[in-house]
Amino acid sequence: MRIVIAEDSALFREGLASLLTDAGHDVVARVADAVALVEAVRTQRPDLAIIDVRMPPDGTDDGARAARTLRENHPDLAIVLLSQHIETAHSVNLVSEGRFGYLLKDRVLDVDDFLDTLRRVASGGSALDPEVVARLIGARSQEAPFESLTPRERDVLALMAEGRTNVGIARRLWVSERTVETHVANLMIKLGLESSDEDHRRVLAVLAFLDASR
Amino acid sequence: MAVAVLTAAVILSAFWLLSRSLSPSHAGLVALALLIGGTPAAAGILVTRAQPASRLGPLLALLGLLAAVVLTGAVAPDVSTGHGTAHAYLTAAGQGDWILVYVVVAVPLLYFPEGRLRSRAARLLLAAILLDAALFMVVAATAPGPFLPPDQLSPHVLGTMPAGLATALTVLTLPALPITLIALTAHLIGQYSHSDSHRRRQFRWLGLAAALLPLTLLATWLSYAVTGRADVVLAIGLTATYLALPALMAVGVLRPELFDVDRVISSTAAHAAFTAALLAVFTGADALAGTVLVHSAPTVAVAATALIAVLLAPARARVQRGIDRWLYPARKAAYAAIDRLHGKTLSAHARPEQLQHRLQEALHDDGLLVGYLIPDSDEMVDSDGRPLASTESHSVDISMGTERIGLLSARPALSVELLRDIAARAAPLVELVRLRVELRRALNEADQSRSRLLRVGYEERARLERDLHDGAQQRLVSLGMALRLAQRRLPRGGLDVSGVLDAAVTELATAVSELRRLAHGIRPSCLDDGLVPALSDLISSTPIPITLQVTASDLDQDLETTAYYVAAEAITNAIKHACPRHITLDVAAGQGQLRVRISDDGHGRAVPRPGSGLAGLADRVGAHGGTLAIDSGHGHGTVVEAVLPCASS
Repeated sequence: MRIVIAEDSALFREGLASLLTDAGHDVVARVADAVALVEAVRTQRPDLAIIDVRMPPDGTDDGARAARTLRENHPDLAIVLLSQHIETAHSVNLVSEGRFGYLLKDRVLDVDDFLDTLRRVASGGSALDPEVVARLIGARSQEAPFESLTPRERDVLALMAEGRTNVGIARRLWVSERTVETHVANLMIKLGLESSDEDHRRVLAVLAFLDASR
Repeated sequence: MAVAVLTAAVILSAFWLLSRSLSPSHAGLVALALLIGGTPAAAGILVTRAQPASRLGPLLALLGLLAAVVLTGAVAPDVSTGHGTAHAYLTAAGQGDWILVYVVVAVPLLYFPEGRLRSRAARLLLAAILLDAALFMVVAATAPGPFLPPDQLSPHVLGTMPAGLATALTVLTLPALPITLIALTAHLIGQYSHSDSHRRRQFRWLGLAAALLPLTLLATWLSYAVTGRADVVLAIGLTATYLALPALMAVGVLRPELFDVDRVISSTAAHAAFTAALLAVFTGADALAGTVLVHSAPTVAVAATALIAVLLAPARARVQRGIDRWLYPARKAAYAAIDRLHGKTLSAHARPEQLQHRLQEALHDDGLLVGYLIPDSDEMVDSDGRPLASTESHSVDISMGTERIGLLSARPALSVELLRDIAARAAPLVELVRLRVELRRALNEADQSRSRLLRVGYEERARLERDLHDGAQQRLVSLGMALRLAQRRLPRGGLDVSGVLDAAVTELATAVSELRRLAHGIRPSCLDDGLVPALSDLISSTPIPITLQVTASDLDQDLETTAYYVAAEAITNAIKHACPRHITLDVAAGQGQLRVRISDDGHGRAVPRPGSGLAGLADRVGAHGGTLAIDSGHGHGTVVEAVLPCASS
């Protein structure tokens, strides 16, 4: 994959670049602010951009705003936002369009999982940080449709919302794929959502529901 | 000026001459002449001194001169019997001289108050009066037939005009006199009604003098009723009127605000009305008793009048109020508004802050302003505590005892005396309002200070969050990533494990020191050991010498923390902005107070701008119930002093 990294901390940026290079990816540009990022994407045409939310020039949410601009100008570009802390505002809006991931920076330390997420997002899927999902679902767990979910179904829902496939969920929960399929079918019925085979559309469905019930 | 001085000189020298050749029996007359002549002359001189261009001064002096001449004329025959021919001429010329009394009184009225004729009508009227007087005097001096007594025997030394002409002229000139008088009165009324407030006030002084005439009539009536004679009282009254006219005209021109002429007129009218009522009762009772009882009629009348006076006493106040309403509505309305508001305030049906609005209504003046002086400051505010909009110059102070507590400003139409009276009446309400404003301000300030402290707290949290995320956390994540990288490269061999670990430890050490710095920013841990070690620690890390004097111990920990922050912030501020060579830090406890004083020898000009460190300090100190004072002149260094209440020592 051709990747652009936008991160103002040189230490983190170079470490990430080494990691990606070691994993066989092609880091075509490393930039330290939002303006340079937009320019790099325009000239390099990468498959994926890994963007820090907080960056110069404003030092606020420049990365997230740049991501939105890039999404409009380059619909095919996959974007993974990295953040030092959780901000559901940025994440949910963008993730519902697919080809988008939103992760805490710490997730990088779980290298295989992180690389897996990058691949998923680049191939059209979505990825939400488990913390974000936990917050979204946690905020609603007392509300009517969520109350009827079993703990197991909630786990499955959370993993679905992170963007995982049934296979991925089965591996995570140490159960068979068939069991996961049953859980998914049940919770989709309970939440009033139609089931679908396509991975990221399941995420969209879950998120649309979370978003709508907010 | 010259005219006035000349006039005065003429009068004085005339009296001087007279007094030399007079017998003592004339001394009283001379004194009277001096008074009657001197008063208008003095008024004339005063007016001329203040307004040299005004014709009014010389005219008033002329009034005095005439009085002197007439009185001298009265004395002259006794003194100078020797100059027969001159006396004959004087007698002839003086036959119609009484009309001059009218002329010298009427002419200044035309020139009042500006000292010039303002209209064509005034000029015509002047000409008419002068022409009429001249013709009259000519006729009087030269008409056929003997002169009036006691000059029947004096010869017609100025000649004699034909009888027909004399009759014709008399028919012409005599009615002209009341006609000009009526025209003059109409002219004055017209002038008054077309004047602005200031000029009206001037004219009211004239009115006060004119009011003496009906008063004289009243007094004459009184005198006649009591003694059966009225000539002395009439003479005194007319003289008083004659004197009052120039004197009050001068006041009207020079000092129209001398005192409240409206009130004088109003209360004079009330007294006069009351007296007239009593007199009417007396006269009626006397007449009735005279017809019914014949004997002891005056006794009955006096008794009846006394009874009526007692019965009418309560009505007097009502009469005064009625006349006030008629002649003096502004004061009446203002007083009523203030008293009503006062009553409603006491019964909690209104708020004293409505004072300005109520006065605006009562006095029909939307621009009326009541200012409240914030205690212990020179800040004048409105009832909402906002700085008072710039007041017009027409304003009076509102005082409580000797203390100035506010300000009343209104349109110039309301006299200063009236405003002063209203201010006095409103003072208790104003005092109440200013105390309420001060209280509200203090509460508001406390509120704001609290929210500022809260905001500072939030901002500090945001800064900490950022420092933690971008600093230590970022460093730790990067470190973790570096270790992962090393881990993944390890199987391939060729990795400098020692070097990687070395870098990792360095990174960890940096993160730890960053965390320590952050924690210190939250609360200096050295405060655990007490204020003195903390301050010593603080000054040891500054780049310039600081003298530390601490005479305080056993302090409350919160107090120590606040004292520490005052010292730290003030020192930081001084070093950052004032380039001092030396700083002195004094911390002293005593009399229930902890004083923290930081003085430097820098270039001063420290201003606690909103949001600045010094402003934040003021809030911190205020939250402790203390005060922060900053004295920072240009080039004199800065002294920051916090006084905090403390229980111990």
